[in-house]
Amino acid sequence: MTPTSGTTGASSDRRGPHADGAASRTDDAAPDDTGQHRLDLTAPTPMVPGWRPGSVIDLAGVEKVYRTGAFEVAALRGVTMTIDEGEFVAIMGPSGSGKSTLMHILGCLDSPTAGTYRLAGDDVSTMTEVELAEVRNARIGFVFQQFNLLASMDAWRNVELPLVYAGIDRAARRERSMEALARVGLSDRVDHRPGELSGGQQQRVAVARALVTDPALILADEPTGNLDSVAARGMLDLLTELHANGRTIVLITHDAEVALAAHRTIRIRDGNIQDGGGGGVSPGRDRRPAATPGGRP
Amino acid sequence: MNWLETLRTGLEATVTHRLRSGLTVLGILIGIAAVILTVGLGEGAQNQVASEISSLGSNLLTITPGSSTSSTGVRGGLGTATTLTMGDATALASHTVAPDIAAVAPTTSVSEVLTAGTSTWTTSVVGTSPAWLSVRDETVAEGRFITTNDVADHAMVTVLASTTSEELFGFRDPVGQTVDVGGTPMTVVGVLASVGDSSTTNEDDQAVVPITTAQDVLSGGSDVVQDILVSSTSSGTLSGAYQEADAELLALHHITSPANADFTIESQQQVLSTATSVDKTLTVLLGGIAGISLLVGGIGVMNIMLVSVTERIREIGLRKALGATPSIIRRQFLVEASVLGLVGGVLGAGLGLLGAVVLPHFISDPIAISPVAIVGSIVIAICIGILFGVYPASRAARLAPIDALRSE
Ligand SMILES: Nc1ncnc2c1ncn2[C@@H]1O[C@H](COP(=O)(O)OP(=O)(O)O)[C@@H](O)[C@H]1O
Ligand SMILES: [Mg+2]
Repeated sequence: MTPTSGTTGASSDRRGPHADGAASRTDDAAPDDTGQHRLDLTAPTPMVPGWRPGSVIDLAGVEKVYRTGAFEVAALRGVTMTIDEGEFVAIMGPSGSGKSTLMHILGCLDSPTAGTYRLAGDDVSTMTEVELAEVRNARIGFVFQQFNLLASMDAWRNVELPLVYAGIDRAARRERSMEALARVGLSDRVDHRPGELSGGQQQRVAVARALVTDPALILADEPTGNLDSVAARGMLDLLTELHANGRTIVLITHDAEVALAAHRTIRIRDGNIQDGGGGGVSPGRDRRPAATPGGRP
Repeated sequence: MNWLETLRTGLEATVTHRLRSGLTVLGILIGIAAVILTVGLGEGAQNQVASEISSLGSNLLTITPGSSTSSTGVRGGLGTATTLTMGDATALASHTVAPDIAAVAPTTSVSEVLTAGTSTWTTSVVGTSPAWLSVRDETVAEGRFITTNDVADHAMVTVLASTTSEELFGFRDPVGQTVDVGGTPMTVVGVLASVGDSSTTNEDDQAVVPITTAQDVLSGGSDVVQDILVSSTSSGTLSGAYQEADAELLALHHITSPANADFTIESQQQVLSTATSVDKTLTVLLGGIAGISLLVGGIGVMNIMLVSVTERIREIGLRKALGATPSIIRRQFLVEASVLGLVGGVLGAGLGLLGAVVLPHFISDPIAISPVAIVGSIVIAICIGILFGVYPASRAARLAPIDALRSE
């Protein structure tokens, strides 16, 4: 796991993590462990001392009912599952099965109508708006199915947005946005507006934005959905690389081949977990697979 | 996220949405300029009346013969009766009888044809005493005014007002020249200084002669005067002067009941009070129109703001998803709304002031610059912008990010 992920275990201690991150950029020798290996794929992934092994994501009986006028749609009907630190999990299911709904709850973008969601041990329902904003900003990188880029802003301005809310200064924001865009292979498109980019390129801008704060948990809703097979391969390699650096990755797909890149597949149907929701607790399962890009089973 | 960054984000958003920002600013601008101009027009009219009153003298009383209402309730012949005499004027001038009266000028005026060389000009010829100059607050530009000796000698001298002098003598110096007044040659001894335009009387077009001369030559040798102008020692003693003149004249005319008075005393305020109240009504009316235009402008701004925020709820959702707290969103929209309100307010005030300076050249009505209207309308514009820009934004900021993102 990355040094950053170690801090997810103690969210209350993470006041002003962005300031820490900014400081560490200018002072790599500091004992501060956050962000030291930001975007550095070759760095080892040591266990952080004091980190209590356990679930990053812990859902118990989570339900989500949408009310639209007279209709009620039960999108999730009691989902119980756990995802551990450093796992690479694929969520599969037919269209309309509740995958996106589940992902939005995992990303703290929506709240369940019943059940509890513990993020690194903390019950999300007890968090204040400010705490939630910080979780979304620093601890989770979310890749939306519809990208959700701001059309009026250049690619790099879209990527820097989370850093703006992290309170990082302008020069550092630009530098880190450029790094993140380089990671997704878009160095030559930094000054393009989303409208001037292909669907695949927009997807990669969205991924760069999710990476830029160096979050411990990356949630991607069909990240390969708009990509051709070559670009999809590249995206999977990137996610595999990020995973190899210790990040916990959850992605939604309905492509069995994409799911193969993950180390566990959770199947969902009509708002219920079919199988794979038990998490990496079962004996014999490799919770932290070899940190090599080619280490897919 | 600090205020500077918020300010930058807010400013950036106003620039990004140029058309929308422009329309908002335009709405505020027009509303404010309209308020400034309409209120200014009303106040300008009021100021004009006020300055006319003061130019006529706030300590001036005019005594005319006849009563405005006879004892039988039938309106008498105001100004046509011949009940005022030189004796009345002399009595009022006494400081022991009337200590609050500063000066008394009996006048008799008649319209005559004046001839100088080949120029002829018809104007009002006023017969009066030397006190007239101070009572009417006039000054002599050239030569001298008529003197007590002129009055005593029934001297054939005249003092011309500036326009009259110009019409008869062009730009030549008229002092010492002879002018024929209704068939009687008189020597011009002075010229009055111009007092400028006034919509009620033209004080720059008249000829002044000794009252005795006027009685001899122009109105047929009687002791009767047309009216008596009285000035009080100050504007504060005006009512004292009024009572003294009233009591003295009643006594002189042997009238016991004031209801039977054969004369009328009026102050200039009374003469103009009707005009003033009409102008006050005008101001209220114009103020109402201004208020309505601000309201309409405000509704326009409100509409643009609401649409703008609604269109941007997705943006709000995204910003929240990326880590913005509701208060940061609120601040961003507060900055945007304030900037639009301020820019619109300042431009509107500028346009209003420009109009207040330029328009009077075309419409001949004065427009007053009212600081209250300027500050008030800018404050209202900013408040409208904030209320209708920030309120919906802060509501959207409380939504779950995904609900905001999904909104259409
Ligand atoms: N905002 C919403 N309002 C009402 N129903 C919704 C809403 N979002 C999703 N649903 C319904 O919930 C179910 C699950 O949707 P979703 O999570 O998007 O599925 P998936 O991502 O697996 O295709 C669907 O039946 C969908 O129609
Ligand atoms: Mg979906």
